Amino acid sequence: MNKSITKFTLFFALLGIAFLSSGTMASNSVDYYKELFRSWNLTIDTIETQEDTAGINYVVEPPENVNTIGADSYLLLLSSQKLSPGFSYRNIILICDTDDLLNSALPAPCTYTTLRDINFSLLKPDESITSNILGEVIRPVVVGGVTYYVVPEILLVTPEYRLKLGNYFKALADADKVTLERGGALSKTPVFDTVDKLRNSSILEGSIYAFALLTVVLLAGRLLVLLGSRSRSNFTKELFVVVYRRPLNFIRKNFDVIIFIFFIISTLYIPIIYALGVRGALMGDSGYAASYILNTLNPTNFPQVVMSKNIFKLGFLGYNYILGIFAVLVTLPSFISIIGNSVNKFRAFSLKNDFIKWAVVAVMWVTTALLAFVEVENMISFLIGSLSFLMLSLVYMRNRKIVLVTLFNKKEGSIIIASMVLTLTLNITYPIYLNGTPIKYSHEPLIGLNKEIVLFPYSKKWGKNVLFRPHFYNGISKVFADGYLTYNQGAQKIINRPLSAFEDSGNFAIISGKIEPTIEILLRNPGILPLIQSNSFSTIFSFADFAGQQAPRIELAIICTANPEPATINLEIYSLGRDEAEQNAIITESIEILKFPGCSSSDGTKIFEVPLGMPPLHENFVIARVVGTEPSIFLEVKLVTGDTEIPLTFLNKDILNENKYSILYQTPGTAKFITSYSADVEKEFPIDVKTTEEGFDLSAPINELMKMGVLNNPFIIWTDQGIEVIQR
Amino acid sequence: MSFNALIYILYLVFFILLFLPIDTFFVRVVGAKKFSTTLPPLLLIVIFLLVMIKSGIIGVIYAALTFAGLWAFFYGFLSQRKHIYILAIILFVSCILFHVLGINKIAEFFATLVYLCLALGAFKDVFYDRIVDE
Repeated sequence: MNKSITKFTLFFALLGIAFLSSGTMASNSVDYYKELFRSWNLTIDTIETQEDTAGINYVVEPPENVNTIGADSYLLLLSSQKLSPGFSYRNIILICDTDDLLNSALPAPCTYTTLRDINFSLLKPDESITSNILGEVIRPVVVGGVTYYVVPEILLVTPEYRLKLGNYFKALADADKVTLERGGALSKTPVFDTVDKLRNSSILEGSIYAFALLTVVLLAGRLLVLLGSRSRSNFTKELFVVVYRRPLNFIRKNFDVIIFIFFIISTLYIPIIYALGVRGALMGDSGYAASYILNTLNPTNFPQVVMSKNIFKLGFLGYNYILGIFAVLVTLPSFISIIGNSVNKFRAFSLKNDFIKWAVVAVMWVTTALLAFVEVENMISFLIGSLSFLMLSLVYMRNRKIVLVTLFNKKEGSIIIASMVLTLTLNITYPIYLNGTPIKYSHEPLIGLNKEIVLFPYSKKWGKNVLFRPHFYNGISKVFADGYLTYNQGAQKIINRPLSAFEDSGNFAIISGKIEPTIEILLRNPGILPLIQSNSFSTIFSFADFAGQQAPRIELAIICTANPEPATINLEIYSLGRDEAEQNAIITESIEILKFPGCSSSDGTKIFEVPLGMPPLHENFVIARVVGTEPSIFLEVKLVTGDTEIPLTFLNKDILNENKYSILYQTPGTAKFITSYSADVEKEFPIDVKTTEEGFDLSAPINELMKMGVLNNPFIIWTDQGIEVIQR
Repeated sequence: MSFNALIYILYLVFFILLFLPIDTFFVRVVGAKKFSTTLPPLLLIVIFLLVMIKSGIIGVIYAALTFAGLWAFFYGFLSQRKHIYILAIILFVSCILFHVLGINKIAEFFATLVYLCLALGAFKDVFYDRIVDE
């Protein structure tokens, strides 16, 4: 017995040691901060570096999420890691942990205590002005296309600073999600749309409670029966044995073994929670254990957990799956028995005729009355409930040989018919009345989040016939709602116009929109092309017809450091119809140019040169884009005939990013009148910019756009400055 | 014609089939009866399919969840009242336990379950004798 106890204790101790020494434990400050930022909902990568003889660090271990570079992941660096030039990552959180201001890798002057000219050691963390200053930390510094968030380490080691900074970074994580939601329901796949609807439905919430109750009954059903009986003799140790004594024949033989294993596996949670609790205490986060367990078990995080290369996390996930399987084995016999029991109960019970007849009438009356006032789309769950109830009632009446009409006397029958006539009247007259009256809007806050800090870009989801209460803006950014410019500091009048109505005059901006309509407009109005061309490479470009020249080839230089997956790469060519019949049509040709086999980071940059089966062009210039994989993996694309390289005019790569709105071009300086062009704008929309002492009411133009029905659901409120505090 | 109007008309026809003596009418016209037992369920299925078409896959999921919810409610309603209240007490104790452990989200969830059990128990106490024929 003593030996068993000793072995058990030793086992738990070893488990604890294994956990504490695993990759999840903060072995150094980088790992520690990585977990801290992850607890603020950011996807964080780190790199392992080694110092060479010149004192410059080079990368030994690449980031975990190297495949997701360019998405919403962040690389965490310490300023003491003096990286060799050439290593790049799109978003970097740089923690200044030294007092060395001369470090050339710093994108902004920063030390352990200072950022630019702010010395945080001299401020009082609990003052409200400090919170505003902290907002500066979240404002990124962009150097060479890399976005840096520079954080003096003092902000992470001082509890009050850390709490406040955490709110900013949590808001940043929320804002990152917004860019991925752009386009609303239209851009989502039906599956995600369904999941969204389901997640927000009250019926799911109700069902969760129902299933939870059922699960508790499954686990404690026998216990309930025993506790409910009057005999005191049941309160013995046998009670705990018989709780699970109703398995199916299949499981019955091995049930004791199953439950024993289930119990043993369950007890492993004690040291795990203890170890997580210790770690949470070290990090000053009391809810760490709960958030760690929930994050690991959240099915949507499954790919991240698998890719994390974290043995403890993977082991914990696997452990929970095994526990889940045993839980199912343990509960299955009871579940089947409870189903059988319920079927027997349903068969045996008998409803009073008075109840069934009036229940059917009431359900029918309420449903038909509601149909007069509520759209079917908004009462789907109610309709399904009503239909289910009526169907079950019909089955019940059929089994009991009840004829509904015989249950009512003449007086009751007259009342029912009169009530149905009333619903008929309502269904005829109310829609007519509604057509003749103006829409009644309900009002809600523009920023409805109950969070301490909310940042632009902000995704606003809205219901039917909703307008927004005034929300005043005092910043200096250009503020947009989807593709519409709603505010520009210094401007008195803003006109939003379709890109197809573009005129190169006055002060104007061109905003990105949906790709294909934008390309169509560019083909019809080539005058826009010089404004949105780019000096650097992009995978969308235009070129002139080179018919009659030698067989063309295409050269693709692919960056392998991101381990790109194999893919079929196509060249999509857009041109205007040449002859009379096709004059107004856009011709789209897709040519398969490369079966890319994938490559690994050790390959560096790989160049693929393949013949291009070019179709006859319909116009003397075309726009083409390379599709089939992430644009970021391409370093260069060339078109060659013989020894001659065909000149390509590269266009702004932001045209291709449908997940994020951006300004493709804007005239320099400010003016009183500004025109904003976008392919997403279908009808001209002017705004008179009237500011008060409180600022500019952003809700005013947005409400007009809502009435016009041109905003997506959700729509995105964004600025040309990127991240900006909208609510503090 | 709007979709609402179509659904309303189908409900109205369902009402006529269910509440009016149509068998007498069909015996005269077609020479057959039993329409009163076959047509109403068929009509309900037609309405159900139309709603499914309008709502898409979410409608099917709603339907499955509605059946599960109705089943859970009736099973709870027909079970012994003492069991419902004991379940409420067990959940209440669990709620306190989770609250003490600092897992407030789960504690809140359990508190809602306690409320549902008490509401179900009260509903059963008040309405059982009026609904169920012993």
